[in-house]
Amino acid sequence: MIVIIANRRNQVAHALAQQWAAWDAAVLSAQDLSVAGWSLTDGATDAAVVAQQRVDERDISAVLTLAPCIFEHELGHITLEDRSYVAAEMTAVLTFWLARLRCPVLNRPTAARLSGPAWSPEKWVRVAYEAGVPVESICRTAVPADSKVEQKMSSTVTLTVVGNRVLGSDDSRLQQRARRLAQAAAVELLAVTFATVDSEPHFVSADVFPNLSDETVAGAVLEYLRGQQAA
Amino acid sequence: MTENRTILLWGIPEDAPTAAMQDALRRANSDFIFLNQHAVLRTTVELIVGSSVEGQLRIGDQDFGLAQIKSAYLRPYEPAAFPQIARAGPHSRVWRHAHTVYQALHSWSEITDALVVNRPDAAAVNNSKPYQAALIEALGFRTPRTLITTDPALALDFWRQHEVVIYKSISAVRSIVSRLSDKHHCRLADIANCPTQFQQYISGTEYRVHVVGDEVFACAITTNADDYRYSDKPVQMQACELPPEVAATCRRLAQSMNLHVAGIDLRRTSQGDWYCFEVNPSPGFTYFENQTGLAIADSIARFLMRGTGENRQRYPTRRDSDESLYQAAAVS
Repeated sequence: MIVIIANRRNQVAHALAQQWAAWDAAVLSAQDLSVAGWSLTDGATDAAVVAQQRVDERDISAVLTLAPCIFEHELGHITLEDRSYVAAEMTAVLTFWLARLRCPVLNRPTAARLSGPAWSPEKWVRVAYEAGVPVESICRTAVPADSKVEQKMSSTVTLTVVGNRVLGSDDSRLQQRARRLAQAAAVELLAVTFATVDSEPHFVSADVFPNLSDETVAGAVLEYLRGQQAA
Repeated sequence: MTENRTILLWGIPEDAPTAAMQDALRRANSDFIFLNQHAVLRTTVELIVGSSVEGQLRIGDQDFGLAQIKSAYLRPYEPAAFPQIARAGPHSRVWRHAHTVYQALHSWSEITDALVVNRPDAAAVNNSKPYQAALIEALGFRTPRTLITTDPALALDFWRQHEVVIYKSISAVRSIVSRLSDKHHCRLADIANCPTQFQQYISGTEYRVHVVGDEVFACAITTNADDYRYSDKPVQMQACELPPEVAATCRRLAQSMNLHVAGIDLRRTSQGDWYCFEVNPSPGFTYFENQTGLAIADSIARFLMRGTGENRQRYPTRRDSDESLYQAAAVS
């Protein structure tokens, strides 16, 4: 089974689950954490609930995470005053569960986010710079009359790293830089946007949730989740 | 290059650890900037990040270059916690400004070369207690047998198996650690709504340990309460020395989590086993300092005064630190 963690209203997640029906794909949403059946314990096999059904961890072949956390607004079935607490608890459970799954997980969680690091735009710029990728400076200004984030951008191109594949451009220099950033961030799935400045591609931004409505990207993700990427 | 020379404290004056840090830095005649969150509407920040990290912080009519800051002690609250911001609402300029200040300083604290107690990325390790427990076990402390479940029948089995069982929050949200008792039987069905963490109760002597850089401050806590922090039962605290190997493990635990200051909750059983329950990345150390006389604030002040150079690992990513430990724990 391929598990897709997403908000239950995430249309892309449900479309992927349909497309991947042959691999028994299903969406795990916040509602599934309010069903008897979850069991995470020392030394025993974990059990989860996916699409309202109890699933043994051994039956899960891969996980794709399309949500940074469980949000309060997803918890309409929980009493209003408890939603904030329950959202934090559910996120904490998923973090733990995802971290110890042995199957492919895109992306692995960090303590701060269910999928990859929870970095600010400024930190992505610094990590790219430290990884030897030319960067476009970012300026965040907080003044009472006009608080904003600015980054000069000319024409941009977005590449998507999926494991060892890089999609979106045939330019090997861009591919190499995108791959370098994904490695620095310790993620396997990453959209990286570059802008051209004086004919030099500069890093602009990164996103651990690429556009999966793009069939090529979705195909590469499925390939990764099924363990079919060439080494 | 601007010489690093001052210390930033960010928080609110009524927060006891923040107040204690101001007092400690004054005692040490150290220069510092206090960024009071109540004054957020008189605060402006400009942060420019590219090949360098630069910017300006203005509090009232005073300007500070962010590059002037050699170290920072952070205890900020979310902007929405302040009535003036909450009242203004998410579509107001006030709200937007308060959040941009918060995000700008949050970002700065992640990427600056200054020493930061503690970087937000590192502090996030406490967001999932079982996730953190795996790191703790990998470094040598025991952790209690644990079940996280939405299944009342499994919870009941676990309770029968361990006889004395506590439940507590899974996330960093504070909760009172409570022992399961007969009155919980009828409420166990509620756990189907939200996964709940149950743990084998470990009896023994409680210890609270504060690690500040390489220094370790320990106190033994004598109490009959399940959670002494919220108990009206008598609680006695006494400063003590830990066995060297336990102190070393505490240091290693804090360092491996990239925490310059940490509050570690331990319990020693009558058999001499040491259990660790939690590592707090933003400890309210004053509660313990006031009752034991341990000079924790002074130690943090000295650490901050030393500043940059202690903070070698600037980008603590999961693969570099906690993930490898995590995998080790998961395998063992």
